[in-house]
Amino acid sequence: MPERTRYSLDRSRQRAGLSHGELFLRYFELGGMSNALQVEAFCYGAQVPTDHDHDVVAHALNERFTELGNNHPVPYSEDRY
Amino acid sequence: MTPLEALWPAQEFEVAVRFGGEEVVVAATGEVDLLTAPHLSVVVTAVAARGPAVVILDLGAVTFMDAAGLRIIARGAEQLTRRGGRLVLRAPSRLVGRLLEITGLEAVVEIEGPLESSHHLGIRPPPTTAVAPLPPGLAHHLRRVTAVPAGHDVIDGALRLMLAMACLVVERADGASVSLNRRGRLTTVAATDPTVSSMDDDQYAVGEGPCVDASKTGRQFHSGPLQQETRWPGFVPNALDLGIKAILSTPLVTGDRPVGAINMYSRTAPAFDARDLDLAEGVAAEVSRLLTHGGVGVSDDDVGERLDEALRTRDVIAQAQGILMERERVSAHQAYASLRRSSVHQNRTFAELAAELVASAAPRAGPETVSPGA
Repeated sequence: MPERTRYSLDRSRQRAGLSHGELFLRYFELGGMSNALQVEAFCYGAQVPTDHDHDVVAHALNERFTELGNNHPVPYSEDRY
Repeated sequence: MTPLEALWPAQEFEVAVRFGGEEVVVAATGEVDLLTAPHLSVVVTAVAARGPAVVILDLGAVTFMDAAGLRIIARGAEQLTRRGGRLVLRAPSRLVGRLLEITGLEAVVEIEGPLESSHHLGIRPPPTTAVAPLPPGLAHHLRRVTAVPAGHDVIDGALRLMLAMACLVVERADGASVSLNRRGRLTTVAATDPTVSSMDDDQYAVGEGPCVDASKTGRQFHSGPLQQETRWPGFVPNALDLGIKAILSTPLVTGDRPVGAINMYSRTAPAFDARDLDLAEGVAAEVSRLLTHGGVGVSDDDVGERLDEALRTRDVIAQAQGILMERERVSAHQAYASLRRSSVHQNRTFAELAAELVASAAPRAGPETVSPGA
């Protein structure tokens, strides 16, 4: 994974104004199967998520961004390669 | 290179062990944080398990340590004393020494060697501007403290570390505390010493004081020289009796609501100046970030409701996945991705689309339904 994607999930989370707890709830609601600590680890880049997990987190963030008036700024796995 | 190493370039972190008679020296070099602490922890545990009389943890070359490192020290000390041994910390840096003091760990371990060391935090006072950010090195250190799993006791530990750093940054501050609104009442969740928390208690008891005002209004409050302070007559005399000369309370805000305050007290300076006020705002911003990160400020009821809702939605999504898998003969993953793409294209929430799909697949009323009057 290229250097510039390091921490980008966490930067998106901060721009979306979501705490880790809130992000996890949205992720969980969308059917995510990892636990809260793992999701936090994904955000910090301390653990590499599967493409599926990455996409669930990305979608949770994008739905929040939609609430804020943005249009799905966080890329999904298929958009990155 | 493992994916982890690709993401997070190897820190200069090393642990070396030297066995000598009754004594084992574990020397760490570099930064002890969430990523590197497990290595140190494994070594300390293994060494302690051999039952040596003394383990010397040499921290002379440790440039940074957060809650993860303190936990290792606490656990190592406990393991050793259970076997009749002891843990000695050699040459902790000034910051680590102060953290040990604040968290009370210095009572549990011996400290050997100079507390003053050549390690600097690299803190330079920022130029006074309208919005003064924290010196970059400090903001970086404070943020790394937040890289711990959320949980009340861990957050309280992280808060204590932040208070220690706050007192280093705002030089006039001799003590500090964090008050939070818990279940409608202000409580001190972390304090650098008992005098400070008893002063908070005084304010709560009379319902008066800069801390009370800051956490209610979301504005920063500070006293002039306390002797001449006319506000808060129910509280100021007590503070003066305790030898306090100046107070500064800065609100902590999560979302858009004040949830408490970070309070600083001075026994020496006549007053906090403009630069102190700015620095305190910077520290409060970092503490607020920690609290937001920890989900503080959300009531238990809210969370319960949210969880119920989340469980229902999750269930509907799983059903929708099942329907698509059956219809399109695809895998669960593909079904999910298909729903997600529709959600993006139609700009509707995933949950909405899933609910619609499930509703459309429900059995319709059949011809055997008899309409009234037939």
